[in-house]
Amino acid sequence: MTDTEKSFKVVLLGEGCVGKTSIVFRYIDNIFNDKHLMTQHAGFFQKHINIGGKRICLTIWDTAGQERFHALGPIYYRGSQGALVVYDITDNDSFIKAKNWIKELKTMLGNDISLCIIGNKCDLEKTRVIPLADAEAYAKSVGAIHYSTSAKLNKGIEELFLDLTRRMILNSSGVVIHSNTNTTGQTTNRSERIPIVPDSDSGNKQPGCCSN
Amino acid sequence: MWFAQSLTSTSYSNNTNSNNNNNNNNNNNNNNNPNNNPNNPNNNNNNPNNPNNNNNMTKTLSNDDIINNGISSSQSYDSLSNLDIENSDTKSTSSSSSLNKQHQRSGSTSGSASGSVGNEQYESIRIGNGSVSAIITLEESTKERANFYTKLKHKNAIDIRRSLLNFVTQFSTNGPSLIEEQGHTIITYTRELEHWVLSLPLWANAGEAEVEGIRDGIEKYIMGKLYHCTFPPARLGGLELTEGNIVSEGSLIPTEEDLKLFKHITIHGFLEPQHLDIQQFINSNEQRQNLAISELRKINTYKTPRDKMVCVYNCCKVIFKLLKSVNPNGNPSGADEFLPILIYVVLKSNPIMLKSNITYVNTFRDQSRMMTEIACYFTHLVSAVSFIENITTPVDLTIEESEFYRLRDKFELELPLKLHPEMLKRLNYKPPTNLQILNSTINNNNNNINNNNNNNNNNNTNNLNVKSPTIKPTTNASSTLPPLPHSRGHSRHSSTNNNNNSQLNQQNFGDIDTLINSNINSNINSNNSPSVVNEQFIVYQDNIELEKRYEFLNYQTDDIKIGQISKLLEDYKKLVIENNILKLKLNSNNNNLGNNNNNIISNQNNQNNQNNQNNHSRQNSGGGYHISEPPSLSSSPALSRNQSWASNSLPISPNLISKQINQPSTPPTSTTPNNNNNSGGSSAITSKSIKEVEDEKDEKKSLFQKQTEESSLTNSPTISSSSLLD
Repeated sequence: MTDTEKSFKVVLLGEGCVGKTSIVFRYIDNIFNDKHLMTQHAGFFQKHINIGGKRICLTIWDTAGQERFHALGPIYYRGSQGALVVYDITDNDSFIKAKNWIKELKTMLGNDISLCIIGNKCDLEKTRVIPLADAEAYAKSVGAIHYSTSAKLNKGIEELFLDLTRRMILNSSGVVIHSNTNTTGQTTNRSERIPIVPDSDSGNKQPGCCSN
Repeated sequence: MWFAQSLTSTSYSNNTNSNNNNNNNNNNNNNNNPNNNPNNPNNNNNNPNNPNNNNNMTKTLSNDDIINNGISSSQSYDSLSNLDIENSDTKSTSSSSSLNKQHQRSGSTSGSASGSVGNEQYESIRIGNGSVSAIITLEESTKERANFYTKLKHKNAIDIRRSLLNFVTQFSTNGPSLIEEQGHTIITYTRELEHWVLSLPLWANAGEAEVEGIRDGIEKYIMGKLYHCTFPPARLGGLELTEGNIVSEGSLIPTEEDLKLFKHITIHGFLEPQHLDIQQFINSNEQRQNLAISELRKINTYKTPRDKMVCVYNCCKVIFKLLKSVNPNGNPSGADEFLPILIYVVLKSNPIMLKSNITYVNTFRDQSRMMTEIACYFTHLVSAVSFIENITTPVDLTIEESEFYRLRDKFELELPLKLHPEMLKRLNYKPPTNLQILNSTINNNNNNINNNNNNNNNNNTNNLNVKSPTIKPTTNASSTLPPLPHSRGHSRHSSTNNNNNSQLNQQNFGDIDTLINSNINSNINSNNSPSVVNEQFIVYQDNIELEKRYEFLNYQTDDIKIGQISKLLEDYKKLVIENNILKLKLNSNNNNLGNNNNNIISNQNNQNNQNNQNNHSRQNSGGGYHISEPPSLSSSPALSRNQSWASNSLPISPNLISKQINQPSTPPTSTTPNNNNNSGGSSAITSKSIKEVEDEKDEKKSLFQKQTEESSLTNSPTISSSSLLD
């Protein structure tokens, strides 16, 4: 028998139009918007990665972000090892929504789940309404880790998923509680290393991440 | 626990026991095969155009394809159950042939044939090439499942086979009855068996795909054999052990939960794409939408949790394609767009026993295996159902509050039209009481006019009328409606002309083919068909809230919804009938125009025969225009159409029906009467009536023209509604 592959379920939460789907598309296929071929199906993504010689299969479940579907969350995040809660740094409502998700996840799943709070669209630094420090402080307070990403510029996405996977491996390998806090410190550093500098072409108006 | 014993029992020999089981198995096999086979030719006959070519499947998937695949999968099934027969030296030819097939494993043919549900079909609606590497596709796992069965036949795997058989036998005799316990028992056993299998040299070096195939193989074996005592509707329906992976929906009885959900969805059938903000996806893609709907309805047809999930997956595939077609080069479509569409599809599909299916899959599918793609889409379905169940207020919908409640109340009132009486009874449905008064008045009228009712006809038309509102004509209509408990063992297409009518009256609710057949029967057997019109009248007393007879009076073209078309048609028919009665009663001087007018109606409605009443009405009626007759009454293409397919019942596909319903929107000057005659006059129509209709054709035309000029109330909704149907 070959060495067994570990698979992790990651659920993707966040308000509509914050770019949830785009982040995953970027990660899975390195495709954003242009020449997008839809080789993946809406709502489910799978990626195999190798971390430290371990074969990991990430299954990422997309959820509908509209408020009317909020109550369906538990159906999706039940049994998941990781959660990506995405908000749009230019949209205060989406951050509030993200906070609600985090609260809910904490209540329902406790420490069993590795939480990530993701400020997407960081290429739109100029119109940012959620101060980075606030978001990171909040993430720290709830034991989550904050990341800044831009699906459009492919910023921070690879790191985000690698980091999350490491945390999930640690989380699942017995030393649950300690490793959790441990990784928190570790990875916060890491996330701070990610350049959040507005890019040269951040002036471009980003096309909406959701099809409309 | 006893099932643990069955795992170990092989080591300390239960040989005698398992031999007995083998024999039983053999018997079952032989007994049940004939039951499966008769369905096959019938199904094929139903769609003669469809060749048995698996590779040829395009996205117009028909039942045939599924059935074919299903049957081939049932063959592989047989071969598995015959594994043991092999040991007990009782080979049947069929089993050995399928064994050989499997041994060859000559790639595509036998592999994919034995590979379950709509494998090819799945392929045909697959999008892209699933570029992510190393992911076990459905085809792979299906192939591996077949592979597992092949290996299972190896002599070194005899212990595994015995264990499986032992488990299945013991479970069906002493197994727990609570579904939770059943699930626990089966999943625990499956896990242990899987470990055992993987420890054998035969399965050494099994890759992920193969492990997946082993799991699926074990599941298929166990659940196929235990379906009848684990799937709640099958238990209610008292299903016996059958071979194969295909189940006749008619043999299942929905549970209370199923009925509740079915009713709930029926009541909320008024919801349209715009209420979920997905009109841009649905409105341009009716075909795909219907395909998705019919894919989802297949969920009741299969036995194993995996195959049920594949049905859901196939449905979702269609939705992806739909999303893709709307947005070919645009932004990625995520769950934001996908879920509402799925919700809409579930609403329109409304497969009976959906709830049981969900419970079944959740219980008997190992939760640790619920991380795959098909599991994800099953989860989407679960959440869609959950969303629908929680629609109690318009809060979560894009709809005016008053509109929501108005439509919901209306649909609730119409429940008797859409649900089978048996279901209503189980749901404790109480019809509004104030209808009784109106019923009795009309009943009197009716009795005066027509005393020789044909009950068979009556019931048939009744069912047809009751049925019609739930059918989306272009989709696979037969699975819309719940199967009847009485029709156990009745497979959808197996009832042919030689069934007697009374039997059909019970069966035809879930089956439009049967319905049509039964109408043929009644037309041939009884020459009373003109009474259809009046019988329908009686029917209405039972089923329709007569107080709402003129519900559409104030409707504008835009107000009418698809779901209301059939209601509108019925209203319209009632008006015509009442008008006829009133005229008869008036019994005054002949008026040429009125006379002809009346005859047109009767001819169109009655088609097959003239009866006394018609002649009577022709001679005596007249002056009908003195009463406030809605001007369009006699230009009743919709009515006559409807009647013609109800009573003449040539083999009509749902598509044809929809076409026919649509046709009235063509100008009345068209050759409607001619068509009518052609379609209807094939067998039973008398030369007399043809002649009369011919004579009156010209006058009819002028009449039609006249009436369109008057732009009647009832005509316009028909037109608008038929355009909605497109």
